[in-house]
Amino acid sequence: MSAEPPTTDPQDDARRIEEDERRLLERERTSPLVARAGGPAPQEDEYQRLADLLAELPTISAPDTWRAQVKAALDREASQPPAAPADAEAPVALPAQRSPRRPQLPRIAIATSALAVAALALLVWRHSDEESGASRSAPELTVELHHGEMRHRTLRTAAVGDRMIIRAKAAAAVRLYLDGETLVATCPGDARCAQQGEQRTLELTLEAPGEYRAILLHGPGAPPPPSASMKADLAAANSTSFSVLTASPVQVR
Amino acid sequence: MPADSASGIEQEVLACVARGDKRAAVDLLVRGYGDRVYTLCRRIIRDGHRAEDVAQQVFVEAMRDLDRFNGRGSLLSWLLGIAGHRCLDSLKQQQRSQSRVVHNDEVVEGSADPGEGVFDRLDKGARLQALEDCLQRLKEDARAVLVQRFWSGLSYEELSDQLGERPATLHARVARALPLLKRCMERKGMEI
Repeated sequence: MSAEPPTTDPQDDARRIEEDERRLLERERTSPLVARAGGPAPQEDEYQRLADLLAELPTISAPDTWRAQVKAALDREASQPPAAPADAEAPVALPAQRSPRRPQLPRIAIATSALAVAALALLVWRHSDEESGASRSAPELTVELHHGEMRHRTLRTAAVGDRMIIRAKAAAAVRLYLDGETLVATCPGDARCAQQGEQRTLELTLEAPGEYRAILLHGPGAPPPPSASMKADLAAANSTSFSVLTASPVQVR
Repeated sequence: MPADSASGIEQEVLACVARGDKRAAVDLLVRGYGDRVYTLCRRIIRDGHRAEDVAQQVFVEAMRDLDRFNGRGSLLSWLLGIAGHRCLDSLKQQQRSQSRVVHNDEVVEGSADPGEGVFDRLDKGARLQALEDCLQRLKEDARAVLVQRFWSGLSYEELSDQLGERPATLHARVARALPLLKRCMERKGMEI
Protein backbone atom coordinates (compact mmCIF):
# COMPACT_ATOMS: atom_id res chain seq x y z
CA MET A 1 0.00 0.00 0.00
CA SER A 2 1.11 3.57 0.43
CA ALA A 3 4.85 3.88 0.86
CA GLU A 4 4.86 7.68 0.74
CA PRO A 5 6.71 9.41 3.52
CA PRO A 6 4.45 11.00 6.14
CA THR A 7 3.28 14.44 5.17
CA THR A 8 2.61 17.31 7.50
CA ASP A 9 -0.37 18.69 5.62
CA PRO A 10 -3.49 17.52 7.49
CA GLN A 11 -5.49 17.39 4.25
CA ASP A 12 -2.89 15.17 2.59
CA ASP A 13 -2.90 13.01 5.69
CA ALA A 14 -6.66 12.65 5.65
CA ARG A 15 -6.60 11.81 1.93
CA ARG A 16 -3.95 9.13 2.37
CA ILE A 17 -5.83 7.62 5.29
CA GLU A 18 -9.06 7.55 3.28
CA GLU A 19 -7.36 5.94 0.29
CA ASP A 20 -5.73 3.30 2.46
CA GLU A 21 -9.04 2.66 4.20
CA ARG A 22 -10.77 2.09 0.86
CA ARG A 23 -8.10 -0.33 -0.33
CA LEU A 24 -8.02 -2.16 2.97
CA LEU A 25 -11.78 -2.56 3.02
CA GLU A 26 -11.68 -4.21 -0.39
CA ARG A 27 -8.82 -6.41 0.78
CA GLU A 28 -10.54 -7.45 4.02
CA ARG A 29 -13.64 -8.46 2.05
CA THR A 30 -11.76 -10.63 -0.42
CA SER A 31 -8.46 -11.76 1.03
CA PRO A 32 -8.19 -10.54 4.62
CA LEU A 33 -4.92 -9.85 6.34
CA VAL A 34 -3.86 -12.66 8.63
CA ALA A 35 -1.16 -12.02 11.20
CA ARG A 36 1.64 -14.53 10.98
CA ALA A 37 3.99 -15.79 13.62
CA GLY A 38 7.62 -14.84 13.30
CA GLY A 39 7.14 -11.12 13.01
CA PRO A 40 7.01 -8.70 10.11
CA ALA A 41 8.96 -9.59 6.96
CA PRO A 42 10.51 -6.67 5.04
CA GLN A 43 9.25 -7.85 1.64
CA GLU A 44 5.60 -7.62 2.71
CA ASP A 45 3.53 -4.47 2.40
CA GLU A 46 3.16 -2.14 5.36
CA TYR A 47 -0.26 -3.33 6.46
CA GLN A 48 0.76 -6.99 6.44
CA ARG A 49 3.78 -5.99 8.51
CA LEU A 50 1.57 -4.00 10.85
CA ALA A 51 -0.73 -7.02 11.31
CA ASP A 52 2.31 -9.20 12.00
CA LEU A 53 3.63 -6.65 14.48
CA LEU A 54 0.29 -6.66 16.31
CA ALA A 55 0.59 -10.43 16.66
CA GLU A 56 4.02 -9.91 18.18
CA LEU A 57 2.78 -7.76 21.06
CA PRO A 58 3.93 -9.42 24.26
CA THR A 59 1.77 -11.34 26.69
CA ILE A 60 1.72 -9.74 30.13
CA SER A 61 2.20 -12.08 33.08
CA ALA A 62 -0.83 -11.88 35.31
CA PRO A 63 0.17 -10.96 38.87
CA ASP A 64 -0.13 -13.57 41.62
CA THR A 65 -2.67 -11.37 43.39
CA TRP A 66 -4.95 -11.59 40.36
CA ARG A 67 -4.57 -15.37 40.22
CA ALA A 68 -5.49 -15.56 43.92
CA GLN A 69 -8.58 -13.41 43.24
CA VAL A 70 -9.62 -15.68 40.39
CA LYS A 71 -9.19 -18.75 42.58
CA ALA A 72 -11.32 -17.19 45.32
CA ALA A 73 -14.01 -16.21 42.81
CA LEU A 74 -14.04 -19.74 41.38
CA ASP A 75 -14.28 -21.19 44.90
CA ARG A 76 -17.26 -18.95 45.59
CA GLU A 77 -18.87 -19.92 42.31
CA ALA A 78 -18.25 -23.64 42.90
CA SER A 79 -19.80 -23.46 46.36
CA GLN A 80 -23.05 -22.00 45.00
CA PRO A 81 -25.91 -24.51 44.93
CA PRO A 82 -27.17 -25.32 41.44
CA ALA A 83 -30.07 -23.26 40.12
CA ALA A 84 -33.53 -24.56 40.84
CA PRO A 85 -35.06 -26.29 37.86
CA ALA A 86 -37.63 -24.27 35.95
CA ASP A 87 -40.42 -26.74 36.73
CA ALA A 88 -39.77 -26.81 40.47
CA GLU A 89 -42.79 -26.72 42.79
CA ALA A 90 -42.04 -23.23 44.07
CA PRO A 91 -44.20 -20.65 42.28
CA VAL A 92 -41.15 -18.53 41.44
CA ALA A 93 -37.83 -20.16 40.54
CA LEU A 94 -35.06 -19.24 42.97
CA PRO A 95 -32.17 -17.23 41.54
CA ALA A 96 -29.14 -19.39 40.84
CA GLN A 97 -27.08 -17.91 43.64
CA ARG A 98 -29.70 -18.03 46.37
CA SER A 99 -29.18 -20.45 49.28
CA PRO A 100 -31.70 -23.21 49.82
CA ARG A 101 -34.36 -22.82 52.50
CA ARG A 102 -33.23 -23.27 56.08
CA PRO A 103 -35.12 -23.38 59.36
CA GLN A 104 -36.16 -19.92 60.64
CA LEU A 105 -33.86 -19.44 63.68
CA PRO A 106 -30.58 -20.56 62.12
CA ARG A 107 -31.49 -18.43 59.11
CA ILE A 108 -31.70 -15.30 61.27
CA ALA A 109 -28.42 -16.17 62.95
CA ILE A 110 -26.78 -16.79 59.60
CA ALA A 111 -28.16 -13.55 58.17
CA THR A 112 -26.85 -11.59 61.15
CA SER A 113 -23.42 -13.21 60.88
CA ALA A 114 -23.35 -12.63 57.13
CA LEU A 115 -24.19 -8.96 57.64
CA ALA A 116 -21.45 -8.64 60.22
CA VAL A 117 -18.93 -10.34 57.92
CA ALA A 118 -20.03 -8.19 54.99
CA ALA A 119 -19.68 -5.00 57.05
CA LEU A 120 -16.24 -6.08 58.24
CA ALA A 121 -15.19 -6.98 54.69
CA LEU A 122 -16.38 -3.56 53.49
CA LEU A 123 -14.41 -1.83 56.21
CA VAL A 124 -11.26 -3.82 55.39
CA TRP A 125 -11.72 -3.19 51.68
CA ARG A 126 -12.23 0.55 52.13
CA HIS A 127 -9.28 0.74 54.47
CA SER A 128 -6.99 -1.06 52.04
CA ASP A 129 -8.13 1.21 49.19
CA GLU A 130 -7.51 4.30 51.29
CA GLU A 131 -4.06 3.02 52.21
CA SER A 132 -3.06 2.42 48.63
CA GLY A 133 -4.75 5.56 47.39
CA ALA A 134 -6.39 3.40 44.75
CA SER A 135 -10.00 3.41 43.75
CA ARG A 136 -12.04 0.83 41.89
CA SER A 137 -14.59 3.37 40.62
CA ALA A 138 -14.41 4.73 37.11
CA PRO A 139 -12.45 7.99 37.06
CA GLU A 140 -14.27 11.19 36.15
CA LEU A 141 -12.94 14.65 35.49
CA THR A 142 -14.94 17.83 34.99
CA VAL A 143 -13.87 21.43 34.62
CA GLU A 144 -16.17 24.32 35.48
CA LEU A 145 -15.49 27.98 34.82
CA HIS A 146 -17.09 30.72 36.91
CA HIS A 147 -17.31 34.25 35.58
CA GLY A 148 -18.93 36.32 38.31
CA GLU A 149 -22.21 34.58 39.06
CA MET A 150 -22.20 32.68 35.76
CA ARG A 151 -21.15 29.05 35.77
CA HIS A 152 -20.03 27.27 32.57
CA ARG A 153 -19.30 23.60 32.14
CA THR A 154 -18.77 23.57 28.40
CA LEU A 155 -17.00 26.86 27.77
CA ARG A 156 -13.34 26.57 26.82
CA THR A 157 -12.36 30.20 27.12
CA ALA A 158 -12.08 32.37 30.21
CA ALA A 159 -10.54 35.62 31.36
CA VAL A 160 -7.92 36.35 33.96
CA GLY A 161 -9.71 36.64 37.30
CA ASP A 162 -12.32 33.94 36.49
CA ARG A 163 -12.48 30.95 38.78
CA MET A 164 -11.89 27.36 37.71
CA ILE A 165 -13.27 24.40 39.62
CA ILE A 166 -11.93 20.98 38.77
CA ARG A 167 -13.83 18.01 40.14
CA ALA A 168 -12.30 14.56 39.99
CA LYS A 169 -13.57 11.19 41.07
CA ALA A 170 -11.42 8.14 41.66
CA ALA A 171 -8.27 10.14 41.09
CA ALA A 172 -4.90 9.25 42.55
CA ALA A 173 -3.88 12.77 41.55
CA VAL A 174 -5.20 15.78 39.64
CA ARG A 175 -2.79 18.24 38.06
CA LEU A 176 -3.32 21.53 36.30
CA TYR A 177 -0.75 22.91 33.86
CA LEU A 178 -0.33 26.27 32.18
CA ASP A 179 0.96 26.09 28.58
CA GLY A 180 2.14 22.56 29.33
CA GLU A 181 5.20 23.96 31.05
CA THR A 182 4.06 25.24 34.43
CA LEU A 183 2.47 23.10 37.10
CA VAL A 184 -0.20 25.46 38.46
CA ALA A 185 -1.65 23.15 41.08
CA THR A 186 -1.61 19.53 42.11
CA CYS A 187 -4.15 17.68 44.14
CA PRO A 188 -3.42 16.35 46.71
CA GLY A 189 -0.60 18.64 47.78
CA ASP A 190 -2.18 22.04 47.33
CA ALA A 191 -4.07 24.14 49.89
CA ARG A 192 -6.78 24.81 47.27
CA CYS A 193 -7.50 21.10 47.02
CA ALA A 194 -10.28 19.52 49.05
CA GLN A 195 -11.26 15.90 49.32
CA GLN A 196 -14.59 14.43 50.31
CA GLY A 197 -14.84 10.67 49.98
CA GLU A 198 -13.74 9.76 46.46
CA GLN A 199 -14.24 13.27 45.15
CA ARG A 200 -11.37 15.75 44.91
CA THR A 201 -12.09 19.39 44.18
CA LEU A 202 -9.50 21.91 43.13
CA GLU A 203 -10.73 25.50 43.07
CA LEU A 204 -8.59 28.42 42.01
CA THR A 205 -8.56 31.85 40.40
CA LEU A 206 -7.01 32.04 36.95
CA GLU A 207 -4.21 34.52 37.45
CA ALA A 208 -2.35 34.46 34.16
CA PRO A 209 -3.28 34.18 30.48
CA GLY A 210 -2.43 31.05 28.56
CA GLU A 211 -3.66 27.52 27.95
CA TYR A 212 -4.74 25.62 31.05
CA ARG A 213 -5.16 21.86 30.99
CA ALA A 214 -6.15 19.48 33.76
CA ILE A 215 -5.24 15.81 33.90
CA LEU A 216 -6.34 13.01 36.20
CA LEU A 217 -4.13 10.06 37.10
CA HIS A 218 -5.93 6.85 38.00
CA GLY A 219 -4.25 3.73 39.30
CA PRO A 220 -2.97 1.84 42.31
CA GLY A 221 -0.47 3.21 44.84
CA ALA A 222 1.32 6.52 44.61
CA PRO A 223 1.47 8.21 41.20
CA PRO A 224 4.81 9.29 39.73
CA PRO A 225 5.82 12.68 41.23
CA PRO A 226 4.91 15.74 39.17
CA SER A 227 7.36 17.89 37.26
CA ALA A 228 6.76 21.24 35.61
CA SER A 229 6.21 19.60 32.23
CA MET A 230 2.88 18.02 31.37
CA LYS A 231 4.49 16.04 28.57
CA ALA A 232 7.06 14.54 30.94
CA ASP A 233 4.37 13.73 33.49
CA LEU A 234 2.20 12.00 30.88
CA ALA A 235 5.18 9.98 29.74
CA ALA A 236 5.94 9.03 33.35
CA ALA A 237 2.33 7.95 33.91
CA ASN A 238 2.30 5.97 30.66
CA SER A 239 5.38 4.07 31.74
CA THR A 240 3.56 2.82 34.86
CA SER A 241 0.20 1.18 35.34
CA PHE A 242 -1.53 4.56 35.74
CA SER A 243 -4.17 5.61 33.26
CA VAL A 244 -4.71 9.28 32.42
CA LEU A 245 -7.78 11.36 31.65
CA THR A 246 -7.01 14.65 29.96
CA ALA A 247 -9.48 17.52 30.01
CA SER A 248 -9.79 19.80 27.00
CA PRO A 249 -7.66 22.92 27.23
CA VAL A 250 -9.10 26.19 28.47
CA GLN A 251 -7.79 29.34 26.82
CA VAL A 252 -7.47 32.24 29.25
CA ARG A 253 -7.13 35.79 27.89
CA MET B 1 2.75 -20.92 24.16
CA PRO B 2 3.81 -23.73 21.79
CA ALA B 3 0.93 -25.30 19.87
CA ASP B 4 1.52 -28.85 21.18
CA SER B 5 1.54 -27.60 24.77
CA ALA B 6 -1.70 -25.69 24.14
CA SER B 7 -3.29 -28.74 22.58
CA GLY B 8 -2.18 -30.81 25.60
CA ILE B 9 -3.92 -28.37 27.95
CA GLU B 10 -7.07 -28.45 25.85
CA GLN B 11 -7.21 -32.25 25.93
CA GLU B 12 -6.74 -32.25 29.71
CA VAL B 13 -9.45 -29.64 30.13
CA LEU B 14 -11.91 -31.56 27.99
CA ALA B 15 -11.11 -34.76 29.91
CA CYS B 16 -11.93 -32.97 33.19
CA VAL B 17 -15.20 -31.71 31.72
CA ALA B 18 -16.06 -35.20 30.50
CA ARG B 19 -15.74 -36.57 34.03
CA GLY B 20 -17.77 -33.68 35.44
CA ASP B 21 -14.93 -31.86 37.15
CA LYS B 22 -15.43 -28.35 35.78
CA ARG B 23 -13.53 -26.81 38.66
CA ALA B 24 -10.35 -28.73 37.80
CA ALA B 25 -10.93 -27.90 34.14
CA VAL B 26 -11.11 -24.19 34.75
CA ASP B 27 -8.06 -24.31 37.04
CA LEU B 28 -6.16 -25.71 34.07
CA LEU B 29 -7.51 -22.93 31.88
CA VAL B 30 -6.38 -20.29 34.35
CA ARG B 31 -2.93 -21.87 34.53
CA GLY B 32 -2.59 -22.27 30.77
CA TYR B 33 -4.39 -19.24 29.42
CA GLY B 34 -4.67 -16.85 32.38
CA ASP B 35 -1.91 -14.61 31.03
CA ARG B 36 -3.51 -14.41 27.56
CA VAL B 37 -6.93 -13.47 28.90
CA TYR B 38 -5.40 -11.03 31.39
CA THR B 39 -3.33 -9.39 28.63
CA LEU B 40 -6.28 -9.09 26.28
CA CYS B 41 -8.31 -7.32 28.95
CA ARG B 42 -5.43 -5.03 29.92
CA ARG B 43 -4.97 -4.13 26.28
CA ILE B 44 -8.63 -3.39 25.56
CA ILE B 45 -9.56 -1.76 28.89
CA ARG B 46 -7.24 1.01 29.97
CA ASP B 47 -8.30 0.89 33.60
CA GLY B 48 -6.15 -1.81 35.21
CA HIS B 49 -8.54 -2.58 38.08
CA ARG B 50 -11.47 -2.95 35.76
CA ALA B 51 -9.45 -5.13 33.38
CA GLU B 52 -8.54 -7.45 36.26
CA ASP B 53 -12.18 -7.75 37.33
CA VAL B 54 -13.32 -8.53 33.81
CA ALA B 55 -10.56 -11.10 33.26
CA GLN B 56 -11.58 -12.78 36.52
CA GLN B 57 -15.23 -12.81 35.45
CA VAL B 58 -14.27 -14.50 32.19
CA PHE B 59 -13.07 -17.58 34.07
CA VAL B 60 -16.12 -17.65 36.33
CA GLU B 61 -18.28 -17.55 33.23
CA ALA B 62 -16.13 -20.20 31.59
CA MET B 63 -16.71 -22.52 34.56
CA ARG B 64 -20.48 -22.06 34.23
CA ASP B 65 -20.51 -22.65 30.49
CA LEU B 66 -17.69 -25.12 29.88
CA ASP B 67 -20.04 -28.01 29.26
CA ARG B 68 -21.66 -25.95 26.51
CA PHE B 69 -18.36 -25.52 24.64
CA ASN B 70 -19.21 -26.87 21.20
CA GLY B 71 -15.72 -27.86 20.10
CA ARG B 72 -15.71 -25.45 17.15
CA GLY B 73 -12.27 -23.86 17.27
CA SER B 74 -9.98 -24.09 20.26
CA LEU B 75 -10.77 -23.48 23.90
CA LEU B 76 -8.33 -20.58 23.77
CA SER B 77 -10.33 -18.92 20.97
CA TRP B 78 -13.51 -19.57 22.91
CA LEU B 79 -12.04 -17.98 26.05
CA LEU B 80 -10.62 -15.00 24.17
CA GLY B 81 -13.99 -14.53 22.49
CA ILE B 82 -15.76 -14.40 25.86
CA ALA B 83 -13.07 -12.05 27.14
CA GLY B 84 -13.37 -9.68 24.18
CA HIS B 85 -17.12 -9.56 24.56
CA ARG B 86 -16.97 -8.89 28.28
CA CYS B 87 -14.29 -6.22 27.83
CA LEU B 88 -16.51 -4.37 25.36
CA ASP B 89 -19.47 -4.68 27.74
CA SER B 90 -17.34 -3.18 30.45
CA LEU B 91 -16.23 -0.31 28.21
CA LYS B 92 -19.84 0.46 27.32
CA GLN B 93 -20.77 0.44 30.98
CA GLN B 94 -17.83 2.72 31.73
CA GLN B 95 -18.87 5.11 28.96
CA ARG B 96 -22.39 5.29 30.39
CA SER B 97 -21.00 6.08 33.83
CA GLN B 98 -18.76 8.76 32.32
CA SER B 99 -21.46 10.37 30.24
CA ARG B 100 -21.54 13.24 32.68
CA VAL B 101 -17.87 14.00 32.09
CA VAL B 102 -17.28 17.34 30.45
CA HIS B 103 -14.34 18.00 28.15
CA ASN B 104 -12.99 14.47 28.04
CA ASP B 105 -13.20 14.41 24.27
CA GLU B 106 -9.44 14.37 23.91
CA VAL B 107 -8.88 11.35 26.05
CA VAL B 108 -8.90 9.03 23.09
CA GLU B 109 -7.04 10.61 20.25
CA GLY B 110 -5.99 14.17 20.69
CA SER B 111 -3.97 14.30 23.88
CA ALA B 112 -0.39 15.49 23.91
CA ASP B 113 1.99 12.87 22.60
CA PRO B 114 4.29 11.81 25.42
CA GLY B 115 5.93 9.28 23.13
CA GLU B 116 7.31 11.72 20.58
CA GLY B 117 11.04 11.71 20.67
CA VAL B 118 11.11 9.02 23.30
CA PHE B 119 11.14 6.05 20.98
CA ASP B 120 14.06 6.97 18.84
CA ARG B 121 15.47 3.50 18.49
CA LEU B 122 14.13 1.42 15.67
CA ASP B 123 14.58 -1.91 17.40
CA LYS B 124 11.71 -4.27 17.86
CA GLY B 125 11.17 -3.49 21.53
CA ALA B 126 10.77 0.19 20.80
CA ARG B 127 8.43 -0.52 17.88
CA LEU B 128 6.27 -2.75 20.05
CA GLN B 129 6.20 -0.13 22.79
CA ALA B 130 5.19 2.50 20.25
CA LEU B 131 2.53 0.17 18.89
CA GLU B 132 1.09 -0.37 22.38
CA ASP B 133 0.97 3.40 22.81
CA CYS B 134 -0.68 3.94 19.42
CA LEU B 135 -3.27 1.24 20.15
CA GLN B 136 -4.22 3.06 23.32
CA ARG B 137 -4.90 6.19 21.26
CA LEU B 138 -7.50 4.47 19.11
CA LYS B 139 -11.16 4.49 20.04
CA GLU B 140 -12.22 1.52 22.10
CA ASP B 141 -14.09 -0.43 19.44
CA ALA B 142 -11.25 0.03 16.94
CA ARG B 143 -8.65 -1.04 19.49
CA ALA B 144 -10.70 -4.06 20.53
CA VAL B 145 -11.24 -5.35 17.01
CA LEU B 146 -7.57 -5.00 16.04
CA VAL B 147 -6.37 -6.73 19.19
CA GLN B 148 -8.85 -9.58 18.83
CA ARG B 149 -8.29 -10.00 15.10
CA PHE B 150 -4.49 -9.85 14.99
CA TRP B 151 -3.24 -10.50 18.53
CA SER B 152 -5.87 -13.05 19.58
CA GLY B 153 -5.99 -14.38 16.02
CA LEU B 154 -9.78 -14.71 15.87
CA SER B 155 -11.35 -15.08 12.45
CA TYR B 156 -14.05 -12.67 11.30
CA GLU B 157 -16.58 -15.48 11.75
CA GLU B 158 -15.49 -16.05 15.35
CA LEU B 159 -15.55 -12.31 16.03
CA SER B 160 -18.95 -12.01 14.44
CA ASP B 161 -20.32 -14.85 16.60
CA GLN B 162 -18.88 -13.37 19.75
CA LEU B 163 -19.72 -9.73 19.16
CA GLY B 164 -23.02 -10.19 17.38
CA GLU B 165 -21.89 -7.92 14.56
CA ARG B 166 -21.90 -8.64 10.84
CA PRO B 167 -18.52 -9.55 9.30
CA ALA B 168 -18.91 -6.59 6.90
CA THR B 169 -19.09 -4.23 9.88
CA LEU B 170 -15.94 -5.77 11.32
CA HIS B 171 -14.12 -5.54 7.95
CA ALA B 172 -14.93 -1.84 7.86
CA ARG B 173 -13.78 -1.34 11.44
CA VAL B 174 -10.43 -3.00 10.74
CA ALA B 175 -10.01 -1.07 7.48
CA ARG B 176 -10.67 2.20 9.30
CA ALA B 177 -8.42 1.46 12.26
CA LEU B 178 -5.28 0.18 10.54
CA PRO B 179 -4.43 3.40 8.64
CA LEU B 180 -4.83 5.41 11.86
CA LEU B 181 -2.52 3.02 13.64
CA LYS B 182 0.00 3.22 10.82
CA ARG B 183 -0.15 7.02 10.83
CA CYS B 184 0.44 7.10 14.57
CA MET B 185 3.50 4.87 14.16
CA GLU B 186 4.82 7.13 11.42
CA ARG B 187 4.38 10.17 13.66
CA LYS B 188 6.56 8.45 16.20
CA GLY B 189 9.18 7.93 13.54
CA MET B 190 8.65 4.18 13.61
CA GLU B 191 9.21 2.02 10.59
CA ILE B 192 6.68 -0.75 10.41
